[in-house]
Amino acid sequence: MLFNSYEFIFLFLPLSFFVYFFLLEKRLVVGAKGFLVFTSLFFYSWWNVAYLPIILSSMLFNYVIGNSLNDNFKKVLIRKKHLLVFGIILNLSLLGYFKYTDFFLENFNLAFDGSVPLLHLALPLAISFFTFQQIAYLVDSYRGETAEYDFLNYSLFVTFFPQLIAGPIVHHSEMMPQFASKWNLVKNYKNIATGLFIFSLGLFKKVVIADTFAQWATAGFDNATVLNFFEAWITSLSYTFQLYFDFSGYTDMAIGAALLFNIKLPINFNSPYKALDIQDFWRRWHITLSRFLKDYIYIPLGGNRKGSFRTYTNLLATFMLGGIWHGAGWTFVFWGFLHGMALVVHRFWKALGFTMPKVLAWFITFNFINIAWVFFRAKEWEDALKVLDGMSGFDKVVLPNVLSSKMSFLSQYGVEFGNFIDAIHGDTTTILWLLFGFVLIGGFKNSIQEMSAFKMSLKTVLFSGVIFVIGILSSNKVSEFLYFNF
Amino acid sequence: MHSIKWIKIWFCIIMLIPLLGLFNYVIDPYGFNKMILMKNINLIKEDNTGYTIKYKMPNLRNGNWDNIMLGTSRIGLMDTKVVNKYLGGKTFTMSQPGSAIPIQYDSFLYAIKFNNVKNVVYGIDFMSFNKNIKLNNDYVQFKEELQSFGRFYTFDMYFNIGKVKKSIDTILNNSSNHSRYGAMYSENGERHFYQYKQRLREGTFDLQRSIDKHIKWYFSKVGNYYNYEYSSKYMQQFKRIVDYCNNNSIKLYVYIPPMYSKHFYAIKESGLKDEFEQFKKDLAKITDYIDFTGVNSITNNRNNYWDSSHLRKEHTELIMAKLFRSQNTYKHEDFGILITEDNVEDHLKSQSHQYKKINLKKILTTDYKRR
Repeated sequence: MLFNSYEFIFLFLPLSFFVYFFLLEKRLVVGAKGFLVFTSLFFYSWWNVAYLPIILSSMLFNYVIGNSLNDNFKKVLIRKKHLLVFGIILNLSLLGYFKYTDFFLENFNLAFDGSVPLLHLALPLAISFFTFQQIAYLVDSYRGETAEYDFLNYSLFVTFFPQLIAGPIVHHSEMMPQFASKWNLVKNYKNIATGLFIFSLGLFKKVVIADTFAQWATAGFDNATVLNFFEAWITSLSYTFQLYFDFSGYTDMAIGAALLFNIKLPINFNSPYKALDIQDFWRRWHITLSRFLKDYIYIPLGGNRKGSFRTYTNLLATFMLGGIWHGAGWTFVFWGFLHGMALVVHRFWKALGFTMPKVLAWFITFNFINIAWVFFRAKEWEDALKVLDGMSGFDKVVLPNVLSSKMSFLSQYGVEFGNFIDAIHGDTTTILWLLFGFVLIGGFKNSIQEMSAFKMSLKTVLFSGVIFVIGILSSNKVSEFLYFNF
Repeated sequence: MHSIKWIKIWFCIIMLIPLLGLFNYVIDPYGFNKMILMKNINLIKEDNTGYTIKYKMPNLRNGNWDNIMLGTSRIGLMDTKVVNKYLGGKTFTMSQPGSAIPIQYDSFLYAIKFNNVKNVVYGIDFMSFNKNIKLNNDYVQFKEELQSFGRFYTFDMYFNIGKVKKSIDTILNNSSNHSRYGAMYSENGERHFYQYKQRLREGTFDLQRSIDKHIKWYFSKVGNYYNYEYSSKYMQQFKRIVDYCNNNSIKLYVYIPPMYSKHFYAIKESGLKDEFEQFKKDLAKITDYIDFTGVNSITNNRNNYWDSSHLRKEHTELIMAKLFRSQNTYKHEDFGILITEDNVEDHLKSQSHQYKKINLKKILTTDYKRR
């Protein structure tokens, strides 16, 4: 079930909301929470019920291990460190088995000229997210930073449907107290209004903006071999905008849906394309993932405490792992490597004390991110290289026919005139949308800022109601969110 | 403003959704329900050929079709009444415009799942075997539903802001003194080029321009021949259809639709002659077929066409008579050659003398502005 589908918006979400608060009104707190866990598991099983035992057993296993690691649980027969290592290895094995087995086999076959058949396993939905979430829980239990949670609240922490599929990657310390708080057990109309506001905004971002850019990005990557200079740039920029509006739209919808239940999810985006350097970008993009990578990989590796060289290698390792977390492919690893390298260069640059004008800093940062996304999006190396070839190839410049009379002298330099954005199925609206995209990312408040400034007024209700209506009536095709694949 | 008031107003605003849905349902711009037809309001519908799967599959799923026509829009234009006359029973045209073989294969499986099909008439096209052909948007969208024999719902045709605009366009068009017509599917899946017929009636139809414009499209960057790589995998998929028909007592009639001779020349001009011949040879290994391509008394007369590849409906009889081995082929003996594995080489040899040189580059660089 997708957040932007009719069944979620008009059936699942309202039914879950009304039954949950009905049970709470009848003072059936355990029943209400149990119901929310049940609906969340139903939501999860909607795609494929075969995935259900995986998430259930993972949840049960981690709860038992986590409680065993917790100081409150005294009767532990083995050393806590061994238990933690066992817990982490089992979590990573589960993730590795489903997500990386074929990748490993493919590379093994390639390296040793082998013919081990691939398993073609279906990737259980959200496995990357709930595995990370629970590893964090185990580590914190080992550190003695978790309280003794009851299983119901723990289940809700893992399965709560707004964040289950694609984050934000929540931390037990920010969720458990909310699930336990009595203040959150009564309907809060301010939260409901704010939730509807941010949900509408997210729906609009996904359905109207991201899905519009998706058509040019998809066509461009499908026709990577034939792209001219402008087509290649429009392809990459369309994907850059699509990914942001898709994922941040999804996150807004998750935050909005959670608010209906009085649960505040952490923010995940803060105008990332306004970043002036790569470090700034990672403080603004997928914030909860960056937080996880920093707290549970970068810092345990030594962070910046062991000299410059170790800092650089730690950064590279962290980002390459972040890359492969997104998908089992060398393009993802390379994307992570590029970002890791950029962070290394940035640190070096900063250490030298250099500065540069803000406009130039933004320009370089944005273009680096845009180019790196090409590897992130491409199915194969060749596709990425072909798009990049088009982006750098001044030998394949085609200008619109209308310019042919005024700029015919350019023909002698190999410039052609014709339908210059044919291969991406573009037209004049494509250019307008790209300009609109730049205005949106650079000139407007992001949705979290909008939410913080939210006031109950005729203006906000009209704005929210109208974009919700447009969002619903624009979902010609209910398209998946990009981060569902990771 | 109080939160509760804010929420109430919000819910009032979203009542626009059912209201606009109802408006679209009544106006029904694409003719999906045809429940309420009002003169000067919604009698003339918009072009619905972009919704092939959504429009055709529910009709196909209803069953009761004895004969299925498969292929691209070239067979889609053919008159099902003529087929009914020869084969008896009721014929459904499961054609998909510009489609690759996988689309036709899935459509075939969908058709036989819900119908007791006795005959399949297959207009098979060379372009459908291009490995790099772009798959139709609606197929990409509904592939899973099609392959799992699912139902196709149409409610999103009504709860849609783009369709509100189309509904308004429909009303404006119907109330105009000069209503324009579009291409349309009828309930039996047949495709109608009402827009061409209208222009022909009004004397504004420029046939030569239509031919060149279509050749340009076919061979351009977004066209079906662009980046052509002949797919033997697709041919194997076609063979599975043939095998299925043979094993299940379904009669299969295969033909290569007649393209206008200039289109035929353009295939050679674009360097695809070898692939075109390979396609015909491989096809002959799998089944006998009638080849209507090449240069003959029908394909050499542009007035038989709407553009470079779509033969007009009134010539269905010529195709079907030949296909069903009727003697009723009038004076066009040269139109359609029966090809078997034994004569395919000779046939290709004689056809290779028919090619003429055309200035394809000029056609491809001409700007055919919309009129």
